[in-house]
Amino acid sequence: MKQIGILDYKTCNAFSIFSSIENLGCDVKLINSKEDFNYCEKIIIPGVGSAKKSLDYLKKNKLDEEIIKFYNEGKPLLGICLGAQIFCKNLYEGGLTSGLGIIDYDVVNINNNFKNIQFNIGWFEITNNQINNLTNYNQINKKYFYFCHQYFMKSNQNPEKESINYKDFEIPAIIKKKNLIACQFHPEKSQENGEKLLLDFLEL
Amino acid sequence: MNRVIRIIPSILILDKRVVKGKNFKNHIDCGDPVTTLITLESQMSDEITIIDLNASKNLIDPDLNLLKKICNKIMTPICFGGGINNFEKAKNIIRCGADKILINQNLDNEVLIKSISDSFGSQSIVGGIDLNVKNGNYVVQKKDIVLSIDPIKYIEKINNLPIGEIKITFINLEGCKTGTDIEYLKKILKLVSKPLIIEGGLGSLMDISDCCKAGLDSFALGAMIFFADNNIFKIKNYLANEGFAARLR
Repeated sequence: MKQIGILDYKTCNAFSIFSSIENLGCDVKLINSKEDFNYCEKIIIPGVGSAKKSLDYLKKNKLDEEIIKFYNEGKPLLGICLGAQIFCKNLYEGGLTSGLGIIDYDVVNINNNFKNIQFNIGWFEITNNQINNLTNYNQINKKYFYFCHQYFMKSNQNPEKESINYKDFEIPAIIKKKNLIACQFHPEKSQENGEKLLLDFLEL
Repeated sequence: MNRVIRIIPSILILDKRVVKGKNFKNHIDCGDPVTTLITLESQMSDEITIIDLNASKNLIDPDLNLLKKICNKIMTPICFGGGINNFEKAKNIIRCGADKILINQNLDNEVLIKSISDSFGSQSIVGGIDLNVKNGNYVVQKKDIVLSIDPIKYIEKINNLPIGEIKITFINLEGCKTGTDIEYLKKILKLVSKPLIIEGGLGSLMDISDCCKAGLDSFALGAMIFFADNNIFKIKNYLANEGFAARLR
C-alpha cells in the first residue's frame, strides 16, 4: 500500500508532523533510507533544524538525490520551514551550503534584510493572493499560521507564492512549483488552519 | 513593535500532573496534562510552555513519553524546559515534538547553547531568566542561588547569546495575580532585541492590556488561567476589543 513518507533527517521534529498526518487517517511512514522512498506516494520534509548540518546529513546519505528524483517524477512534496528552505539554491545558516536548487531562492538571515527584526516567531496572517489551485485554498487565505525562523527564502524573481506582510517586512510564506509546496510556516503547529492545509496536500 | 499578541499558557508538570503554586512553592494539582493541553489548544492558545519540575529539580531526564503523548494530540507550538543540561536531552525533546527548548539554569554553558543552535537553529532556544526581589532590589535567581550579577547586565548578556527568545519570570510575583512591574518591564523592553515573554503577576485582563500598551506582546500565564474565571479565548477577545492584534481565527 502506498504511504505518506516523513523524511527523518535526525535533527528535525518529525514526530509532530507524523502525528498530524496519522491523526488525519493516513498511513504514514518515517523515511530513514533511500529505499524507503519507493513505498511513498507523497513525501513531507519536516522542519526545526539548522541548514548546514541538515543538508550535510542529506548529502552524506545521498537522500538529496532521492528527493530530487521524487520531485522529477512529479510526486507531491511538502517542505516545512527548513524542510522548505532546502529546496532553494544557496543557504547561509551555519555557513554557505548549496541546497537542492529546485526553486530559485536563496536562504538568508532576516536581520541582514530587515534591520529591526532578528527572528520571525509567532502567528502571521497570509495576505497576498497568488496561489489558487489548492483545493481548500479559500480556507487558507487571510488565515493565521505559525512561523519560527531566523532565515528566510529570498528571491528577486516572482514565482507562485503567498507572503506575509508585516509593516515593511515581507517574506514568502508558501512557494509552489509544480508538485512542490514549500511552506515557511509550520502547518503541523498551526491548529485548524494548518490541518486544512495538510488536508489539501493529502488530496493532491 | 506590535506583533500579533501571543498568549502562552505556562504549564508546570510535577509527578505527571499539571500543578501551579505561588513564588515557585506550594504547588497545587490542576489536572491531567494531556486533557488540560487539549482544552488550552481549543481556546486558541498561541503557544504552550511546559516545564518538567521533576527533571529540573532532580536533574533527571525529562518525561519524553508525556511530551510525545501531548504532541500526538495537539497542533500548537510547544516550548519545553526542565533541567536541560546536555545536547542529548535537547535533541530528544525536539524529536519528541517540541519546537523550542527553554534553558534557564544552563544558559552559561556556551558549548551547550552553541551545539543546540548549530543543530536546530538559534530560533529553537528560549533563554529563561528568573528574577526575584531581595532587600528591595531585583536579583537574578537560579534555583535557590542568587547571582551576584546586576539583572540588567545579565539580561544584556543573555540577549547576546545565539538564542531566539527571552522569557523572564518574576518569582516574587509568580502566582500572585497582583499585576506585574510595568516600570521594570519597560526597562527590560529597551534592553532586549529579541521576542520577549513575561511571566509572573498577571492576574486581570487589564494587567495584560497595560503591558501591551507598554510594548510587550508575549505573555506566559499560569494562575490567571487556572485560578480565575478566565480562558484564553476570552483574554484574546478582550485584547482585540481593546484594539490590540490578537489572533482569533
